[in-house]
Amino acid sequence: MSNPETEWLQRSLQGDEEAFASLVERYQNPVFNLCYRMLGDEFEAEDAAQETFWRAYQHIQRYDPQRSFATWLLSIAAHYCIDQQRKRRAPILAIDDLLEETLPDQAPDPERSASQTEEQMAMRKLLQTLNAQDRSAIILRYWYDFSEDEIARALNLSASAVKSRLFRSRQALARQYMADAARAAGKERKQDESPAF
Amino acid sequence: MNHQPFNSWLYEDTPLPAAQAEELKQHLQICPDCRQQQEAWLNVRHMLRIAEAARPQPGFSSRWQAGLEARRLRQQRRQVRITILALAGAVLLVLLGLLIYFALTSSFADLFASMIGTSTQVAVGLVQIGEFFQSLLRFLPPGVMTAVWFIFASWICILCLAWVLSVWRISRKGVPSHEELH
Repeated sequence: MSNPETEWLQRSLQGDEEAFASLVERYQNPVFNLCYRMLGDEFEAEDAAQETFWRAYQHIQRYDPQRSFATWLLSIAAHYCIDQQRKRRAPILAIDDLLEETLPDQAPDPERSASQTEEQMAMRKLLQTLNAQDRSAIILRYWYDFSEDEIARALNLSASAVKSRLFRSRQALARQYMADAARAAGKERKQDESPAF
Repeated sequence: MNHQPFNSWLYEDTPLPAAQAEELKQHLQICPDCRQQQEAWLNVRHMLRIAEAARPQPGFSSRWQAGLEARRLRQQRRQVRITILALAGAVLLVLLGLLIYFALTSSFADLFASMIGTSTQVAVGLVQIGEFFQSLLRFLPPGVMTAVWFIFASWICILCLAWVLSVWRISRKGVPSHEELH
């Protein structure tokens, strides 16, 4: 952990609001990304990320300085998103929203941008096929490089449960990917066979 | 064809020992199903690894700070509500307990008689306290009474002045809105 962060944390533990705001500034992207990948909606992700930081601020005294602050924060975010998903129960797949989604303005190249959007859409569709806890395990593993032990700590699961959840999720994602690819190939074939007029 | 244990090895996140890796390689050469699954998983993993992190709209931390006061206020109100409800619940429980106790230990006529008796005793007690203070005032030197009245009148004047000032201020500036408070 870097020095300014340690100082912000120490000041936050003493109730310094400004110091905590610096931590919010620093961790807003990873927390938002986790919420966005979990919930699949920008506005819900914003609310969830704001709630995560509020909960962290309220319970900062429970934070163990021996542990990573990022892990603690992401654990709060993951739990909150899992709860939200359980409350919602229904799957979220607003295709119209997905199409309107815009990516950060990095590439002016429209072709690249379109392909990135497609990838993002495909990614989101794949993730939505998993249940909330499996999804959070996959996100923490592949976006945040958490080890199985870290995921277990963050999600309050045993290491073996995490291992089997990850295994099951990988299998489910691969099968879903194959099914999507087969469907896309079928569509293309139909278009090629249709008359030109 | 038996796909186990190769099908499980495909999804292992840690590198396989050399012997197992070789066995898997040989199986993949003859099993198109497992090969397809391996390709699918590798593609998904690649997508996961290269996917860009989503970012919030600019001003996230400012929005957090702005929302902090509102959340605090909400929490305080909730705590006050909980405290009032808890107190009211406790009082109700005590009253209910007393009611049950009296209902079980005495008759209605006894209760009515003791209620009348207690009310009379309280009234008599209040009259006696009043008489006590009146007799005390008669023995005090007249200077002390004047001083007491002067202090009392001064406080009344100060309170009146504060009330008039508040009314004047509100009528001039108005009541701050919810947004202004935050």
